[in-house]
Parts: sequence; structure tokens; C-alpha cells
Amino acid sequence: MKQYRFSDDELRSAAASVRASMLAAAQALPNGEREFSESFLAEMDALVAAGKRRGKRRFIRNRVAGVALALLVGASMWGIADDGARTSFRNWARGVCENSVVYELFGRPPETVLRYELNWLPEGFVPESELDETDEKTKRKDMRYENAETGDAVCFACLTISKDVSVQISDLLGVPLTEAEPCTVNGLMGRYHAADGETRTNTLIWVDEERGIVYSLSGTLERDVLLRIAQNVVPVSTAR
Amino acid sequence: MTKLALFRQCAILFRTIPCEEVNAILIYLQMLETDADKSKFERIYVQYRGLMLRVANSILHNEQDAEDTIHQAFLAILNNLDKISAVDCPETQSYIVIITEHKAIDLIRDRKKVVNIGDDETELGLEVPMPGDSPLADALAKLPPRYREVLLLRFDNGYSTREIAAMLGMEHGAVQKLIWRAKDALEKHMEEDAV
Repeated sequence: MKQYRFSDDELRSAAASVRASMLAAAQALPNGEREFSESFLAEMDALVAAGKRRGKRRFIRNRVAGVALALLVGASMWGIADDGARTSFRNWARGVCENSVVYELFGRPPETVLRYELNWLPEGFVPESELDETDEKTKRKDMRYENAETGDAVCFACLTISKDVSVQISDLLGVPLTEAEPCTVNGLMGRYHAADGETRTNTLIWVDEERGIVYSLSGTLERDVLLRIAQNVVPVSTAR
Repeated sequence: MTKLALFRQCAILFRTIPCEEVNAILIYLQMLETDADKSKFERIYVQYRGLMLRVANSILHNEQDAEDTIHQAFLAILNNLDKISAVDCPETQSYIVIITEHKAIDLIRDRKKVVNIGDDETELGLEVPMPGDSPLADALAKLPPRYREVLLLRFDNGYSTREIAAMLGMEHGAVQKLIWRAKDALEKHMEEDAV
């Protein structure tokens, strides 16, 4: 480790001095009769007021949504699942209630994305399957790529929101998503959920709030590889 | 279980839920979890919005840009509300100033793609007077904003590099590198001052 002519304790002391100096300078900045705009104040007031009303509603809604989701998936898989999978399902249902990720995306008409492509993949990966799902509020595209030699796979999903909805993201089966590590993908807010054992894949989720698009990339690849793939997701064609 | 079979079990499910209210700004409070957090956020908003406006305006010289910056800063604050222990303390005030400065410089960096504003980022941030009580503190005050910000968050506020990464919307590794570079820059400043 590199040796500096100052210790961490000295740096702490210096940082405290600089903080005091910085705050004094900030407090002394001229106000210049500047006030917030009416629109800003109205938005912030609405934000604070709405939060008071909605706190409990959100709590209940998340749980209702979680249970509904659990039932939805449970109903579709119960008949075919073995005992191990049923145990996973029970874990997952609890996880959805407690650890689900909810993104709120709000209404502005996004462009309709017809197709995205992964512009870069590690050597040996080829497209294995594609899935398109569209309803009145969302358009979803799934693409899976596999490397037959190594047995690795990566799945890219892209959800375009066309109306005002919340998006709840969780594992389809198995244990809940692990605690997220914040990251950015081409400037967009993202979350990376690392695999936490034998039964999980790594997952990268990122959100384009402006355009109302949620992307996810899951696979057995390492974080940096997933990030590089994500950074090379390109729209191939779009239409209004 | 093969990797492929494992993967098929771990597909991601998107569940959509209708929203009752359409207001983009409401996304901020959707991230709040408890009444205590809401109270904390309200107090931060009321107590520091004026300071944030002065800081943002001093860097951006444009009121609309300053308000946009403050929105971004509040979003970052809300994402990391649990890391703020007390609303009314110098450390929190420092964090608020730092995040506002950071977001303002982000905005300028974005604009840099279309407007040439010069490459010296030292000129972009707050002017921090040298405290004068030690060469190290004076050197720290002279650092470019990005370096000063991470060193203050790390060594004054005591946040971990992971926490700083979350607060500033950066990769963890990038924050570590930034701290190393900031320390190198400090060392260089002190060498020059010694000569």
C-alpha cells in the first residue's frame, strides 16, 4: 500500500476543518433575491403531502401485489412442481412480500420499441429463443442466448411501459433477489443482484425513467461481463 | 442441476400494477418506507432547500438548472436517507452541500457535450477557502470538487466507499480509485507547498 506523508487521522482532522470552511462559504453565498419557482414549490409540496397519505397505502399495496403475484405463479406451477420447487416457491412468496423491488414509472408515452439487440456478447453465445408479449399497458421482449460449450446462458428482458403502472421485479421461482448494489448503465440507474449460492444467477436491472423502459439481464456470467453486455444493448428499430 | 436448467428457473418476472396518481415527482416519495423517514425528508427539505438553491445557483448561474439539480439532489438524498442520522448537524449539512455541488457539476458535464466550458473542473465547484490551520487542510481545500467531495464524505462523514458510491451514483471501484487519486493529488500539493 502506498505510504503518504499524512495519516488517515490527520486526514480526518483536515477534512473537518475543510468542512467548516466549506459550510461557512456556502452559507455566505448571496441569495440574490432568488426564490424557487411556483412550479417547483408546488411539486415539492405535493411530494411531501402525498407521501403522508400514501405511505400506508404503498405498504398494503406491495403486500397485496406480492401475494397476488405469488398466487399467480403458484397456480401455474403447483401441478408440475416437485417438493423442492414447492419449498422454493414458499420461500419466494415470502421474499416477494418482503424484498421485492418496485419501480414506479409514470405516464409519458414512450416510443414503441420493436427490437433491441445485444451488440456485444462473450464469444460462443448464440441466440436460443425469443419471446414477445404485448398488452395495452406494456410490451415485453425476452431474448435468451446460450453458450453450448460452457453451458452458460444469459437472458435479456426489456419491458416498455405505455401507461401508468408500477413494476414489481422479483424472481419467478426460487429465493428472493439478493440485496442490490447500485450501479449505472450508460448513465441510467441500475441495480446489480449478485448470486448468493448454488441456486441463483446474477441479475442486472436498469431503468430508463425518461422513456419508461425496464431492462434486465440475468445469467451465470460475472458482474463485469453482464455490465459490458448491458452497456451494449442497442435499439434496432423503433416506431411511434 | 445444469447451469442452463438453473438459469431457466431464475428468469425475471415483471409484475405491473396500475398507479392511482400520475405525477412524475411522486416517484421520490415512493421510495420512503417509514413515517420516521418521511419526517426526516420533510425536515431536510424545509431546512436545506434555501442552502441548496444558493449552492446550485453559484455553480450553474441559472435558476431552472438549479431547480433541476435540486430535484436530482433530493432523489439522491431519498435513496440514501437511512445514511443520514440527524437532520440538524454539520455532517448532514456538509453532505447536502456536497451532493448539490456534485449534481450541479454532473449537469455541467452533461451540457459539456454541446457547450465548451473548459476542461478545468476545479473552476466548476464551490470556492472553498483554505482553513489555514494545517498544510494538509489547505491542500484539501484546493483539490478539484470531485476529489474534495469523496475525501470529505470518507474522512469527515465517515461513510464507507460503498455508501459513497450509492450516494453519488457511482461504481464502487470508481469511488475507490477516486479516493486514491485524491490522496495522490493531496500528496502532490503538499510536496509543491513544501518546496
